[in-house]
Amino acid sequence: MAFIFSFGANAFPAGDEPFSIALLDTTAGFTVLRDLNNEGFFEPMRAPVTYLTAPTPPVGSGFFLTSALTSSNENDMANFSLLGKNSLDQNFRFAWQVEKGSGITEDALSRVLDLAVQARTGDVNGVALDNAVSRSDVTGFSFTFNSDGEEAISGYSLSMNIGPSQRHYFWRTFGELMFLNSLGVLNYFLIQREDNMVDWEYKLNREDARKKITDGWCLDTNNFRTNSIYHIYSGIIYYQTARSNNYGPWGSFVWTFAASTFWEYIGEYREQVSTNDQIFTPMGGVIFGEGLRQLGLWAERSMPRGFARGLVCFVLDPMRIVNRQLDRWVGESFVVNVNFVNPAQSMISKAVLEGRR
Amino acid sequence: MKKIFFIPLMIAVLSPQAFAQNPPRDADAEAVRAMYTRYSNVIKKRGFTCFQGGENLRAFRFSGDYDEIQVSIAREKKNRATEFRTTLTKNGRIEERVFSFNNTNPNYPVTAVNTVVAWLLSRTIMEGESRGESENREWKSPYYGWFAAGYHRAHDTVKIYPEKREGGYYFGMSATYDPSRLTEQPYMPLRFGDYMTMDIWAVADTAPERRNYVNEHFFNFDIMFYGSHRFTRSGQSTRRVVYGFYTGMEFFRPGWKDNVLLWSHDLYRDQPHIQYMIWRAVGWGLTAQWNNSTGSYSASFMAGLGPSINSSLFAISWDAQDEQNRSPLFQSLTGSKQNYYYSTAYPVSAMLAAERLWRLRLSMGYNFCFFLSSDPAIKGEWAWDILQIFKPSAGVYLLDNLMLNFNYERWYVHSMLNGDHLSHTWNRLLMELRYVVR
Repeated sequence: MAFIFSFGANAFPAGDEPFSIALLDTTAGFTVLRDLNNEGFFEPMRAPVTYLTAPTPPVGSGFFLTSALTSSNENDMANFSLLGKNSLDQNFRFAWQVEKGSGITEDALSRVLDLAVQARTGDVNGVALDNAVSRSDVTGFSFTFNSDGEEAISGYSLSMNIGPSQRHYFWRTFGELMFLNSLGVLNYFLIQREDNMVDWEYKLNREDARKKITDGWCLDTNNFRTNSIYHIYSGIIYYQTARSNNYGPWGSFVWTFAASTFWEYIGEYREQVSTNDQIFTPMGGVIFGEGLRQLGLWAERSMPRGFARGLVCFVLDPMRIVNRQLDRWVGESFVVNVNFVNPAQSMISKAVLEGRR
Repeated sequence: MKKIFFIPLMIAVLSPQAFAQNPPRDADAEAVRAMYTRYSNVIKKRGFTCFQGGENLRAFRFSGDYDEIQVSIAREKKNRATEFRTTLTKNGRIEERVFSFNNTNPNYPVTAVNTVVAWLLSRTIMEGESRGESENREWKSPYYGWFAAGYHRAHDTVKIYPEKREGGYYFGMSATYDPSRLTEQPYMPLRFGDYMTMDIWAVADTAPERRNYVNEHFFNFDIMFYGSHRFTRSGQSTRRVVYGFYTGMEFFRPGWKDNVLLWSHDLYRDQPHIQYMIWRAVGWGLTAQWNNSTGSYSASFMAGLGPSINSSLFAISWDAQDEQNRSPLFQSLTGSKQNYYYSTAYPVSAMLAAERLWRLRLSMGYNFCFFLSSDPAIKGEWAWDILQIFKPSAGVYLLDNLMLNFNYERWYVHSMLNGDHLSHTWNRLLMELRYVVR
């Protein structure tokens, strides 16, 4: 999981103002913050970190990060709270909850620390509204008014989705394209071997491999439908694979071209590289792949939930359906509550913590 | 004379206006501006394009669908309170809330901005909304087009085109993804995928022995990668132009099964035909639409170029012996029996249409494509082909969304191979029922 969720603490912006972090695990036997500290999780923040064994309130403009373990129904939940104060004299608290031992524990902490570091030198409203909500991984947003009227906001609630990292998407795209090309190889050498043998020129040895490279590309002599339908369909699947792995149109085109090149050089190692395939596969992929993808997105929002919608969406963009399911398996959401805390409340919170301890 | 100029000058310079302090800044107006700015800055990062004018803001997002947001914020002072009446309309759902702030507090504009922006964002960020959950509101669709089924018949000047004496069943569809038409903005830049057209049709032979395969089939996809939308309204009349650069692919083939409908098969060996596949690498297109009380009118044009594969009239009427002597331009391998050559295509298309003219739809279309052989490996041989399609059509709306349409097409192909020329003409007639989706 650590490999998948490589969002990492490197995302913390380095602040100019020195600050400190105090950590406190408030539930006996649940030492998640101590463990993270021992693993060097907080080192990229370049701030002195103190792990408190006794509930000593933090001093200065630092963060006070606490953890607590609670049980609800069947699950043990890890609750985190981060108290801070910024240069505008705003006291704030970020509170969030994940399942105990969840794979997103570190990523959730990273994202909250990221927001907290931004809030140190800026208005917390600005951080919550302008910075956090503009992120595409924020899937829900609400706020609460002060109980004494509608004149001020007492806090925000952000639903954040932690999906796979960009590195994960890269390797998943690579793996899926390899898998798809492998299916093509099986079809090429086993199922349609007789048809494909017609233009075989090379064998599997170093000399022929070198010859294939030096021979360059040529317009091939495959039948009309292979050139105009099958290769375009391959391009569509390649393109939609990359597109559903978080790549934009241009990045997906690059992947499609790379997958087509791999197929021409490695998959079809016995044939000369086909110029027309190298044109029609990626370009067909972009044109039809994007069109069908958009149609699939629209169908998903327009049709009532059910088998028919699933079928239509799968036909139009199968890799999006596959990858969305994979995203669900490896991703998770959590809710961060951001509250403004007046100094008195802040002291009460600390007193409560001391009492718990 | 000097006094004549001096006195008015002094009056002007020493007038009360000249000494007056700058008028007090309208903090409420500035707050409203800040609300719009902060809100639009956030939603721009979530894919919206925003237009702010006067007392409202409009925002649109096109990614695969159409999302429309309108925000208006009206302010009013009431003694010690300032009220901001905020209305948000998202995809037809209207929400309104009045926020009241104590304006004796010097920081109230900041508080007001934070509060109103937070409310707007909380009502905006709702992923996973679906049209299925919005029966009671108007959520506009970015697509329009039609589905059709009918009877199709083709014949040529000499013989009936490949055994089509009985005609065939026709199925077709056309879809245009055009969300910018819904915005009615005077101008919008269009990016990759913001405008797309898809046309597909196929004919299945009515002969029972050949019903298991589709005969003629065609598709054309075009996707805009850079362009503009312009719109003007004058009373009840509107005018709209969409133009820009496209890339697309167009395909036509007279037979589906490789092992049956090849040039060497009886169906095609003796019959002229054309098949092509074009990648319109770059095309420039323009669509103009006018609406007024008499009906809707449109004109479209597209020209482009790109690599292609296409057949030639010279690649028919061969038997097995002839196959050895054909031009090397025709790339067939022994046994594969193909008749295409690699070319560069220069396709041009134009269409004029009048819609809802009483209950009629009338259109006139013209397609032209020049294919020029472009295989650098083959020296001393050259070929070109010209395809022209002239297609008038007339339809009548039987119901609001159902149209009976008659379509005539005249296809003309002229082939050249190493200085020799051949040409052929087909006539096609289509009678179809179209289900129109707007």
